[in-house]
Parts: sequence; structure tokens; C-alpha cells
Amino acid sequence: MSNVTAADLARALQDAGVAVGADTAPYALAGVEPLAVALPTTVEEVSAALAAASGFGAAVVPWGGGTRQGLGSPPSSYDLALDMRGLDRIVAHEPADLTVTVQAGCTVGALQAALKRSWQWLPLDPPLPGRATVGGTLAAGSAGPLGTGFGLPREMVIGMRAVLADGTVVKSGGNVVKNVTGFALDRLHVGGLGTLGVIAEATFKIVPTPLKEATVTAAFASAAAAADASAGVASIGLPMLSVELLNEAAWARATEGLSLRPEPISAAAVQPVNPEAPVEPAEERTWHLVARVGGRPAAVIRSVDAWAAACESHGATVGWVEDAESAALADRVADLGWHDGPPALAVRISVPLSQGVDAVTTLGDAAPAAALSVTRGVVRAAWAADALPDDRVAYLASLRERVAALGGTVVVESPTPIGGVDPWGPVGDAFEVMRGLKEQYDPQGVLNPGRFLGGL
Amino acid sequence: MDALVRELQRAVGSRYVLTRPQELLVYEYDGAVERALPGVVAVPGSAAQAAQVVGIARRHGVPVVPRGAGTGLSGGAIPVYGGVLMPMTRLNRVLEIDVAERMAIVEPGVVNIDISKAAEPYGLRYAPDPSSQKACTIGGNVAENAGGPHCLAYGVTTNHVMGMEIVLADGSLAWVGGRRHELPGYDLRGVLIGSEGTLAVTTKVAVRLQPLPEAVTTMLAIFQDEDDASNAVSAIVGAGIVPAAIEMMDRLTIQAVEPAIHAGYPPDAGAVLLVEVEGLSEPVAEESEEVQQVCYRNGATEVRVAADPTLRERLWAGRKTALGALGRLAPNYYLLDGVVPRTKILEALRRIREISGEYALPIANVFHAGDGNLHPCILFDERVGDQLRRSKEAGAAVLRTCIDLGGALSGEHGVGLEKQEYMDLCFSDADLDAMARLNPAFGAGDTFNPGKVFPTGASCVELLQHPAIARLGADAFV
Ligand SMILES: Cc1cc2nc3c(=O)[nH]c(=O)nc-3n(C[C@H](O)[C@H](O)[C@H](O)COP(=O)(O)OP(=O)(O)OC[C@H]3O[C@@H](n4cnc5c(N)ncnc54)[C@H](O)[C@@H]3O)c2cc1C
Repeated sequence: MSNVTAADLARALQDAGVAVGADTAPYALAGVEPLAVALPTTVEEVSAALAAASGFGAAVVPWGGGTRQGLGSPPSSYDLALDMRGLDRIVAHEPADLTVTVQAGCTVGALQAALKRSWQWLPLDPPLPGRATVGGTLAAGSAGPLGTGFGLPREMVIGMRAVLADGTVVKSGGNVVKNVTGFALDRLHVGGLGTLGVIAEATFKIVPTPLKEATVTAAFASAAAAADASAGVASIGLPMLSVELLNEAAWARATEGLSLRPEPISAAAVQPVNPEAPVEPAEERTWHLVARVGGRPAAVIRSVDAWAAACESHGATVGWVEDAESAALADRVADLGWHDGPPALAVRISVPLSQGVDAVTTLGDAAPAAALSVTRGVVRAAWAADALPDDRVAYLASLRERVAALGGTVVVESPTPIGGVDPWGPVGDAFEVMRGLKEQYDPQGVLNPGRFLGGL
Repeated sequence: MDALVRELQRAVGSRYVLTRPQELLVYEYDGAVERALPGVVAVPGSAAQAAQVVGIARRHGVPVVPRGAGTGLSGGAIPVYGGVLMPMTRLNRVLEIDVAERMAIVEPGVVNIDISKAAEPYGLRYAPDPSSQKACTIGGNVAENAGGPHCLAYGVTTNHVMGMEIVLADGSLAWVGGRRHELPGYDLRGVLIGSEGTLAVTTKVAVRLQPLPEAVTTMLAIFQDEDDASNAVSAIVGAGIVPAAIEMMDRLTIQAVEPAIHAGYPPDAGAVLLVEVEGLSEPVAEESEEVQQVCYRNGATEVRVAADPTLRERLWAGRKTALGALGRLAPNYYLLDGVVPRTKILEALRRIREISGEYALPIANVFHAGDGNLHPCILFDERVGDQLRRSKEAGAAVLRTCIDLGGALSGEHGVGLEKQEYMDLCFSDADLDAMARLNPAFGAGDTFNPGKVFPTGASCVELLQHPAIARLGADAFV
């Protein structure tokens, strides 16, 4: 723990040529404000700021859009907020290479807008893309609904410049789409929550924007029926962007205020797969499957037909929207629980795919908004401040137990720490190696100290 | 040594411990150029035995070099410091195919293509397909982060491996990554893939499977010169089409291939592109039409199209026999693996032609053009004059060109022994130091595959055309 004073830290930053912010209040975490805020605008300044801070052993929290600062434990000490939003440039974009290099403080929204001019996009869909930065999204590491079509954010990264705790700038990868020159250090920072280094610049492999998109929406009487319906279609190789199963609350939030006019699809031609099958006892709740496809128009039309037929044969009421309406709905689904800013409490559950339905239903009525990414076994759920479970600690403990029985893990995200709840849960295999990484790359323990898995 | 051998025999059974020189000889080389004899070969029959071998070697202070099929092209499996060479080839079972989860769990010695064969009855496949896929193992693929012709659309090994069971240097077994899509903690899986067997030994691999495509169309476009073909590559991708594969052969390669397989390439052909599109039948029909138009607009003189498997295979034949055909042009070749942004292919090929002239050695190019992954093949005869030296110098010049054009040293074959002395062209001392810190983090020390990847300051290795490639037979291709 450092004894540095605010004045010393600010002076050292200024001496190193790094601008210092006037107001520390917006950077408070769990009620604690940092001593100082650094406002670098170049990779060199990020390096200078970290070198200055590490000279004092000062604890640093890298700061992007602030939308995911609820992830992880509060820092065990907190001297400097390193606001990365001054590094907001797109460094290089070569459309015919399908690559883009961007500074970490650029928002995902601004990047998408720039890529769109070349009819390309980076298939990342963090909540609040207008605020979420590229660096923060990578550091958090998790995928939104687009994970179905494109995998985790790590799959898109082909190169990175990261700054280690002592200010050393480290490059890995490059700007070619295929590269095995040297070790893939960028993998450590994607999902590493800024505990091994600060992401300063990233190069991505990007994709052409689909020529057309559409979303099939289907209301089911049970989550299991929805999952059964999707299992059949998912194996055909349709150009899926996302397949999310929303509970009633999530569906209501996602469609609220949207002038969504789903086209009904006639059920006349579609016969139930097995009309003899015993009718499952109806649940009280409706589950909404939201399947989004994108690609060439002919492929999209065929996909819509295939999804509609599968859902109807499983007893669902089906509609569909296309193009701008489809995209708008997708944004809402990605924002789940984050519409008005970070939620008071959120969980991400990851289970083997076959346990997805059990995982989303085990949340019970205590979850106001929840969605299962059907082909990934990932559940997102979020609570607004006025709808928290009565006893959060007991609720989360029992949720963890039930999810553990399904072979999965629960990550708890909350801007205010919940006493007695470890946000990450138990450490898994090879934790000694993770500890070794922290010792190697941040021996002083100054980057986001204590915030990551196992207190790293 | 005797105590070491006895302990190894107890661990894996005496049948599976080799010590006689004539037995060790088989393991002194891989698909690359250098040779070194292991002290002893121990072939484990289970993950637990592999862990025991590691523990034993560690206690005796000798390194362990894991080995797959030995098809590596950068000397990764060469035991430069002797010690225990550990072939993983007895661990060759597909343990599980989970159709619902679209994944498989396999042992590391499973040959790449056998995963897809096992998955095929379920309408699934494992996407990464190194040209050596009939021989190379998934463990070697993980170690090298292998690519292949069809990685353009689907990505490389790291994008398809969900997790591995590994042996750490202390002899303990652990899983990194796994069945689930999101796991809290650092992505140890991600840093291990491509670490060339220097940090841990892989004993099981969980791979993602994908549905077989409904339709596939292959096109072979013939161009009069390489510049036109290079422009066509950028133009296809620039048009928003990401084919499953775009492969290219240059004039010299065509001249070598034509007499061998009579593919019917015109005698004046300057370059050939092989483009494959796959997926749902509707977009495949549209995209193949557009690819043909783009090729013609960029100067193609002819585009042959095939959708039927036998005819498609015929279009691939020239590409797949190219390496063997080049082998007939000269007794030795030096195969490089540099990569450039795909918009720089034209310039890279021009500069390679200049380098070829400067060093007075023919250089053929047959490569994964869609990814910008060049495979310049420098032809020489080590018995003639200073050709060996010139081939090395020309190789260095080619790699420097790739870096100058914004590329990298290796797209898929790895650094190993072959490119370690060039690492400083790509990375600063600080970058290399940061990479080297993975070793202590994994507690690896000198246990696994020492002397690889990082520059040692030693001079470059001898270049010989290697029997490993010959062993793969006439249909070996890169
Ligand atoms: C004709 C030909 C064509 C080729 N085409 C391609 C291509 O298209 N794309 C491509 O990427 N490569 C290609 N290669 C290169 C080579 O096939 C790949 O690098 C392959 O992944 C090596 O697999 P292997 O089983 O032969 O490994 P080996 O050569 O035996 O070993 C390679 C490295 O992996 C390590 N290793 C092996 N098994 C393990 C394990 N279980 N745990 C830890 N480390 C291990 C070894 O120590 C070594 O460092 C080609 C090679 C040839 C000869």
C-alpha cells in the first residue's frame, strides 16, 4: 500500500507530461475516490503515467466508459484513475484487409459508425456502446448476444499494444489476420480486467456488414420448448447472429417504446412435429425467443422460414422484423438491464450448453430481466435498484449452489460491493499459474489490485 | 542416465522407452531442417503417464520435448538439448463427440483429419485444416496454432479450441478452458495455444465442431500475370465476400505442376487462384457468380467452376501437388511462412521476384493468399557453390520484406528453431522480455522444449530438404 499524497502524485504526472483531471468524484468506486485522475491522450502518455504511479507504488484503476466498473471486487487500494478516453483515435483501417487498429479509449459505438462507412463492422455488442470503450469491453472480455455468431471478443483480436504496470509498452501479434510469430500475450489482457496491463491499442479482424438482417420472435409457453425448437434449427448452418431466450421482464424492457410491428407468420402450412406428444404442463410464464440472422437476402429469407417453422411446430406464436427494426431490437437485447446505465446487480451464468434452460429458470421469480444465449449456455440477468432480491447474500449463495450443480459458474456484477459475496466465485484449475502471471507482469500489485478472480 | 531410463520404463513400460541409436534416429528430425538426437524416447499411454514422465525428467534435470507427428516446419520438435523426447502418438483416441454441444474431446495424438472423420456421421466437422492434416496431430496443431487453406473464413486453431488438459512442469494435470463458453480468470488456454510446446504438454483437447456446409463451389481462375491475380484477391474481399479459401500459385509453380499432373494450365499462365465458397446453397450460388465476375474484371483469362466433389478435387489437384512438383525442380528447398496484409501481396511478390534475381535462386510461391500468408519456396542445390549460404540470405531478405510491408515472420508454421534469430525484426527487447515472462509464470523453467522461439544469438541452422516431407508422400502440400 502506497503513502503517496494527492499533490505528489499530481505533480509527478504533470512532470511526466500527463494532464491531470480536476474532479475525482466521477471515478469513485464503492464510495472511495482516487487521489488523482490522469488524462493521457497517447500511448506514450499512458506509459509515462504508469511509470510515474509505479514509482510511488500507487494503485491504478484503468477507466474506460465506466459501464463495467461494477465487475470484480472493489480495488483493495485506489490512488489513481487512469482515464483512457483521451485515446480515442482510429489508427488505421484498411477495408480490403478487413482489419482495423483503434486506440483503447474509442467507444465501440464510434468505431462501429466509422466502419459502417465501408460497410464493415466489428461484431461486438457490449451494453451501452455509446459509452463503452474498446479497451473496457476487451478487459471485461465477455460477449453479448453476438457471441453466438462470432464468439468471444478475444476471437477478433489479432494484435495489441498494452502498457505494463511499470510503464513498459508491449506489443503482441500485429495487423495480419494470421500470425504465430511470438506468444499471444494479448490473450492475457482480453478478459484480464486490466490486472496485468492496460490495453492501449488493439487491432481487430473485422467482417463485412450483412447485406440484410432479420429477427424472428417467438413466444413459447416454456423455456424448454424454445430450446428444443432452436436445437433443431441451429444444426443447419444458418447465418445466425444471435439466439437469445428472454423472460417476460427482459422482453418487456427490450420492446418498450420500440415501434415493433412484428409481421405475423401464418401457421397454416406448419404441422406440429409430433402431434401425439404429451402436452407439457403449461408454465405461467411466456418465454420469448429472439433469433437474429444476417447475410445475403436469400439466406436471410430461408433462415427466417426455418426458424418460424421450427418455433411454430413447437407451439410458439411467431413474428418477424427486418433491417432497421431488427437492429434496433438487437441493441435493446444487448443492453439488457443496462438501458439506464449499469444495473444495481447483474449476474452472468455460464453452464454447459445442455444446462442452459435449467440455468435460466433456476433464477426464479427473483430475476426481473434475464436472457439465455441459447447456443452458448450463457445467462445474463439484471436487477434494477428497486427490485433487488430481499436478501441478496442468501439469494446469490443459493443461486451459486444450484448453478454449481449444473456444472457452471456465476459471476456477480454490482457497482456497490455486496458484503459476503465473492463476485467471481471459487477459483478453478491452474490458479497458481494465474497468480504467477500477476507476479510476473505486475509484481508490485498496483493494477486494479484485488479486483480479479481469487483476489488477484 | 540409467536411473532415468529405469524410472521411465517403470512409468510407461519398457516397450515404450527407446534408447538404441537406431531407434533414436527416427526422432532426430521433423519437417524442418535441423537435427538433434534425443537422449531417450518415452512414449506415454495415458495423460497420467505423460505427467509421470514430466515429473521424472524434472527430477533428473533433463528437458522434455513433446512431439506429435513431427510434421512441424520450424524445428519445434527437435530436442536441441537432448533429454526425453515424448511422442504423444499413443494418445490417439477421440474420447467423446457431443453432438448437442457441438464439441469433441480428443487426445493430443489424434490426427487432425480423424476428428472430422469421426464427426462427419453427425453432420459436423473440425474446421482448421492444415495441408498436412492427414498426418499432423491436434496436439501439434495446438502447439503451433496451426492454420490451413480454409482458415480464411473460419479462423485458426485458437478460434476452435475450447480448452485443454495439460501437464505443468511440476507434473500436475490441470484443465485450462473447457466445455463452457465463459470462464472467469485469465485465458491460459489462449496463451498456451501457439506456445510451441515450451510451457506445458497437452494431454486432452476440447474442440468446437461446426455443421458441414450444405453447398460448396470451387473456382479456378487463370491469370496472365501475378499482379492481376493479387489484385483479384483484394477485390474479392473488398467486395464483401469472405470465401472459405483463396489459394494462389505463381508462374514458376505452374510450370512445375503442369508436366506433373497435366491440369491443363495454359503454357503462358502467370498465376492461378483457387477460390472456394461454401455455406447455404443460395448465397453460395450468388457469391460464386460474383467471384467469377471479379476475377474476369481483374484480367482472368478463364475461370473453371465445379460444385461436384470429384470435379472440385480435380481443381485442387494442382494446388495439392505443388510442393512435390517443386521438389523435382531442385534437390533442396527452403520454405518460408511470412505473412503480409492481403492488400500487400502484389508488392510482396514483386519484391520476392527481385530478391530471387539478386541472389540468383528461383523462388516459387504457392500460398494461402486470402490471409496474406506467403509460402515462398527458395530452390537451391546445397552441393553447388555457395547456394546454401545464398538461400539463407535470400530467406532473410524475404522475411525482412514481409516485416517492412507491415506483416510478420510466420503465419502458421511457428518460430521454433528456424526463425528465432529473426524475432527482433518484429519485436523489441521489451516485447520479447514480456513473452519470456510466461515461462516463470507457468513454472516451466527449462523443463519443456528449451532453446526455441527466443533468439539465442547462435547462427542459423542448416537447410536441407527434409525426408519428413518426402515421407508424407506425393500428395504433401503446404
Ligand atoms: C507438407 C506439409 C504441409 C503443411 N501445411 C501446413 C498448413 O497448411 N498449416 C499449418 O499451420 N501448418 C502446416 N504444416 C506444418 C505442421 O504440419 C503443423 O505445424 C502441425 O501443427 C504440426 O503437428 P505435428 O503433430 O506434426 O507436431 P510436431 O511437428 O511433432 O511438433 C510441433 C510442435 O508441437 C509441439 N507438440 C507436439 N505435440 C504436443 C503436445 N501434445 N503438447 C505440447 N506440445 C506439443 C512440439 O514440441 C513442437 O514444438 C505443414 C507441414 C508439412 C510437412
